[in-house]
Amino acid sequence: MLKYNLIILLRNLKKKPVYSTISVAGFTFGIVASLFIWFWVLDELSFEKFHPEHQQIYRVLTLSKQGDNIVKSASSYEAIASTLKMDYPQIEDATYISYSSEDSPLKVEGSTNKIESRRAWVDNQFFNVFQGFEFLEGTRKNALDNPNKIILSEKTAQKLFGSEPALGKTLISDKWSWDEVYTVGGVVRIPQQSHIDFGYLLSENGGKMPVKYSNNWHKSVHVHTYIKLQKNAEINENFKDLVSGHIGKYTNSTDKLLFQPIVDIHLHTDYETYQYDKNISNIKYIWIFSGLALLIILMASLNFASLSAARASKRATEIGVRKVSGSNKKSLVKQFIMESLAQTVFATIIALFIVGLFLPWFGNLTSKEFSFSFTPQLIPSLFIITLLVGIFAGIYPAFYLTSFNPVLIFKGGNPTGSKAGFTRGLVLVQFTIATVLIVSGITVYKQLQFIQNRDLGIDKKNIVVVPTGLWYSIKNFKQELLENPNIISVSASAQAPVDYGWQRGFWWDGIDKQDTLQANMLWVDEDFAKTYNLKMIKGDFLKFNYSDYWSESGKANKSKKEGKEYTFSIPVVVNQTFVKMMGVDNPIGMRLNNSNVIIGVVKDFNYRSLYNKIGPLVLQNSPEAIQTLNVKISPVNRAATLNFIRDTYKKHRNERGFSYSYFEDELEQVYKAETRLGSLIFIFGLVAVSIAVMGILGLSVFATERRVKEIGIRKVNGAKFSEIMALLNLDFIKWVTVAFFIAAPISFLLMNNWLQNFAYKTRLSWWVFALAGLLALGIALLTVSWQSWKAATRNPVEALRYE
Amino acid sequence: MKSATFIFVLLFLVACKPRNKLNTNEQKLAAEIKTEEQEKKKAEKATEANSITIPDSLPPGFRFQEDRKIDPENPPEMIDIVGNLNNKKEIKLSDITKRVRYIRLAPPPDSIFYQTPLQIIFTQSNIIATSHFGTCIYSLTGEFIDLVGVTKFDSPNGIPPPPIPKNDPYFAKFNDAPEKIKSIRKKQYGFTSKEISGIYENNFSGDDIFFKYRDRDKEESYLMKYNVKNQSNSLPLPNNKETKDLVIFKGDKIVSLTDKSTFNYHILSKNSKIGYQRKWNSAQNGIMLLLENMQGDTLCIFKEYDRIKNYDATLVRSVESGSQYFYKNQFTYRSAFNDTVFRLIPPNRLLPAFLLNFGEHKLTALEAIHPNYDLANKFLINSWTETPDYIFIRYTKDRSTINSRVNKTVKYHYAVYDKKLKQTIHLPVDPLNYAYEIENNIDGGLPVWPELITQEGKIYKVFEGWELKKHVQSKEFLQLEISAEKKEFLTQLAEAASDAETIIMILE
Repeated sequence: MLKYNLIILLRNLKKKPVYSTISVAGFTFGIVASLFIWFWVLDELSFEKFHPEHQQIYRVLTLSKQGDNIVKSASSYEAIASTLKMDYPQIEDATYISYSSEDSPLKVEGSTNKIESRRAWVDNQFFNVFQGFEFLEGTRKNALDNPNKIILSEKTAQKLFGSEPALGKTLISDKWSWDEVYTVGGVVRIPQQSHIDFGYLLSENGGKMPVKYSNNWHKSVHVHTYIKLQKNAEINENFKDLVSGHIGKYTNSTDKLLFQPIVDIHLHTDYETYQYDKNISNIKYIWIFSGLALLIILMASLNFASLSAARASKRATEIGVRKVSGSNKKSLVKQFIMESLAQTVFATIIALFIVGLFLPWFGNLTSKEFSFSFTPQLIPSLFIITLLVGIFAGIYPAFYLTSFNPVLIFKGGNPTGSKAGFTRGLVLVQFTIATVLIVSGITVYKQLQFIQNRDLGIDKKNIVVVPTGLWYSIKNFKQELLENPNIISVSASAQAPVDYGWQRGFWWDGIDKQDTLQANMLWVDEDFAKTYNLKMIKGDFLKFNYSDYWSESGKANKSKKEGKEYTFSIPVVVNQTFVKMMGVDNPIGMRLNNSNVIIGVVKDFNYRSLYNKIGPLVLQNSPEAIQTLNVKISPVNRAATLNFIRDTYKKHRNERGFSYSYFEDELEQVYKAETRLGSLIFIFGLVAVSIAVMGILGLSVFATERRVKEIGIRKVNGAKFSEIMALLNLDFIKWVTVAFFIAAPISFLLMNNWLQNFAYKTRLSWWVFALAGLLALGIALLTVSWQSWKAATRNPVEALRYE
Repeated sequence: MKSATFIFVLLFLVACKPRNKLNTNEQKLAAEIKTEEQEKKKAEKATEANSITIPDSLPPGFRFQEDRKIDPENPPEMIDIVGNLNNKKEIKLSDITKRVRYIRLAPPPDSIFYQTPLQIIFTQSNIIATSHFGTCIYSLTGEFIDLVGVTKFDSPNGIPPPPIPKNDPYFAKFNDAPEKIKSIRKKQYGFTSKEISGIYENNFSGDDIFFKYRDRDKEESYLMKYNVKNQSNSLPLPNNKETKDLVIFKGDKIVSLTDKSTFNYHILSKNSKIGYQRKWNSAQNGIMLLLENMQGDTLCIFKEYDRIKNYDATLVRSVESGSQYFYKNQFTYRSAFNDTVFRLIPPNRLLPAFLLNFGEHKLTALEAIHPNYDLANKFLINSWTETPDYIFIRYTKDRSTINSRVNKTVKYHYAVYDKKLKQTIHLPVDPLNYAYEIENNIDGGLPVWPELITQEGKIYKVFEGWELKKHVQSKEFLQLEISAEKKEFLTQLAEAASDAETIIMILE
């Protein structure tokens, strides 16, 4: 029986190559797109799962009051790890990682090749909790058993030693004014699916400035704590209450603890992570792309169903004969589902080839590393996709076609009446989806354009950002740079104002100290306003006397050591939002935190990404926080100017490697995820639209074929070309228009929701919808008109020859 | 159909399988933070209010007039004792706390500290352990930090510590101490003429510890401040007489005190202190509370209205000493036999916070103190402990003395006032059970009657190693329905502790 069914299928496919191609191509497109999305979603969902017992590992978050708000953060108290483990038997292990800057230098003993990388301190429990970090050299057990040991990431080891083994080698770090000597205790691989990233790890007792946090109750953004629960730990409400209030047990703080499963960090992090977490994404993208995959598959399946239904009358005789010959409904249903399945299987095979071919390209697009192999996850997934699509696509035609009445078939009448409603419904669904995708694509593009073109309140062009590491004596370097006529201005700062989220509480006379205003803090020098073209509203920008600063700072440090208080005032500039939130008319001369005095007000500018509204900001000059140089250059001779900056840098700071970037490029990096989203929506939208086009093409082919004699008669009776075109196109146009009206509110809701992520967003203009509607209509018209034109220009004699 | 139903049920069961997830309720915790911050703010405002300054322009002899009015927006809460005599409800430790934590105090550097059980006081940053023989400072986790004062006995004819009374159920537990501890404590010891005669409790000082140093020979007293971090040692002491013995006093002298003063003090702020005295004295001189600056200048006098005049007896009966403590940084005071509990808002406000209703069982000062009055039908407060959620009141019917306890003529009653529900309950306890404590159903450890609280309002209990050892070997402990893990923890703790070791149990 199977054999006969296959023979019938092949004959049918051969007989109607256009239908067959459209069906199989639609399936193939759908499966290719779905597989790409499947690979992407699977990768997104696999974060942190490389750690054994990852279900038991949590990151400890802190919930604390900041001003009027309750803020969640990964900042941790330094003593939390040790005390949690000590106090709760439910906690098997607890550890922390304390990050330092990413410009921490390292070199091989006897070598001049120095690299910079992110340093972090960990306690001895770190590799007990995170057992998924594979040791390429050394062993987990002895990793940090000695304070002088250092654990390198695979990348750092490669930079230092190439392909040579690193274990046991001596490394020197001169981050401070002395050399720290370490012995490599291991090399670990940090998988791509890890939120933890580091260049090298030191023991908490390591170095000349060890962290030794085990009894230190100070909260720090640099410290992240993790716990591992016992496998069958009793997690009752009592335990949750106790562990949440753990900080209150040791301090007077009201801060509470929250526990985030590490597998949730990648997709469910809804708090500020500063620069420490790698690869943070959002679960909404999983929903968006999974939905997209489902829609594409749905469209491909509907194509098959609609074309099969449309071809029903062509197969009516075959069905009639089979029914008269004794075939029952069940066997006929089986045959049609088999046909659908066979096409799906065929499409899946082609799709696999295409996916295999284009997977590296897709990986590049999504910045992921995918490898194509028939994994235990892929095979059942493929089987399920193929089976579901095959059955879903075949089930309607199967029941529709087998419901034909053989008597009516042989009498020459319409066996089931018109099924135009079904095919129209399909056009409606497909074009609704296509229109939603077109609106989404245009909106994402429009928002990206908005971001790129928005006036940030600062001059972003031709600014070169040079990371310098902590540099207290940058003055001479600045002066020498300014000797070059192509260098317009130079400013030192802690960081370029790209997306800087560092916050601090401020209070002033007249407010309760507990109601401090949480404001962002930027450490910049006196030339920052000039370099970034900031506009002053009141007062002056940061004037600074460096010798006074160092003298006063020295006195303060000395007093601190003696246990005495010594404060001195440092001038600060605040932005307009800060002044607004202070609720004062003229803040000039007011003191903040008893240690700063406001000397100027700067016009609001975007110092964070456009996801965030401009918040209160304080700019302060701190020579002890300088890590970046911002150089405003002339647009002419940029290459020569860059060479000059590099050479001058090497002259003054030869101990560090030189690197630079343009401020504009750094800004673009912030919106990388959105750019990637735009590309993906565009590609998958294109796939969806193509499938819709194929569907409408198939239906128009069928409609014109069915009406070929009618057209012939109309033409013989004097119908004009335009009338024939209108006759054939109008029906499709009508349903595409209806699809537009359904798609418009859906896409409005979707895109409006997405735009809520941004504090500054483009408008959802009417023309976006109009353009999407016109595009959908245009695509539909072009597709249908091609067939209509063929029918309208056909010689009526050919159509009526046999009448 | 059947198989489909089976699969559905199976899937449902799998989906409903309890997941061992540590998921905390963020909204609930955020609300808790807000509430706690508000409380903290109130407490800090109270601290600020404590820190009064005296303007230079004040005329000599200027004093603030006391104000004892009720705040109409926060009227005092009524603790109706007589109205709830029959409102009985049993409570266990889990009803008032979530967990218990133990702090083992490291052995002090001198075995002299084992002579008597240590009195333990929590400051914001430290634990102070003090006894007749000296004072030690510990970290909040029990590590020994420093000795502030040691008065090693130098005279074999000195006054021995009072003997432990036999047959008194109230003190019965001390008779069970191991022989080696009893033998240490039986030794005849005396004291030097110099001593730390009191730790001044306060709620603001962080690493500063205030105490009263007294030289009985010279009849001199100083208010001393010792900073734990600086570990200052600037007290100029003529200790040549005791050089053979270990006599150490550390700290900085703030001000000389009148040695003959009848007042005890709590330190309110860096520049003010509040003095209170025994009822006999206050009833005589009419001063209930005395607010002074650190130099001893009187800023405000709060009068004693329950006066005793023309006292005709030769003996003064010692009955109860009232209550004095800080609650959320507010000095709180109940004069002995009085039915009002006040919060002090410096410089001159005494705000009634609670009113006690003892009905016909109430006493006047004269009735309490005069030995001719019969107290058989009178209620006397034996202990009063206020935590953020409850007030634990132990009161007696009749006077509690060794004789009345041995003869079982005194009755003990245990009441709890729930501050949230504003409800008073009595515990269904045998009134002849003088040593009743709330059953510890949290970890099976020693029972607790709340009498001591930390600065954060956490209840704590102090006991010695041998008490825990005895407890974990008891039949009751072995039969308790507590997890084996918890029992094992307590057993290990008991085994690790020495007999004389001080252990603090904190309810959290």
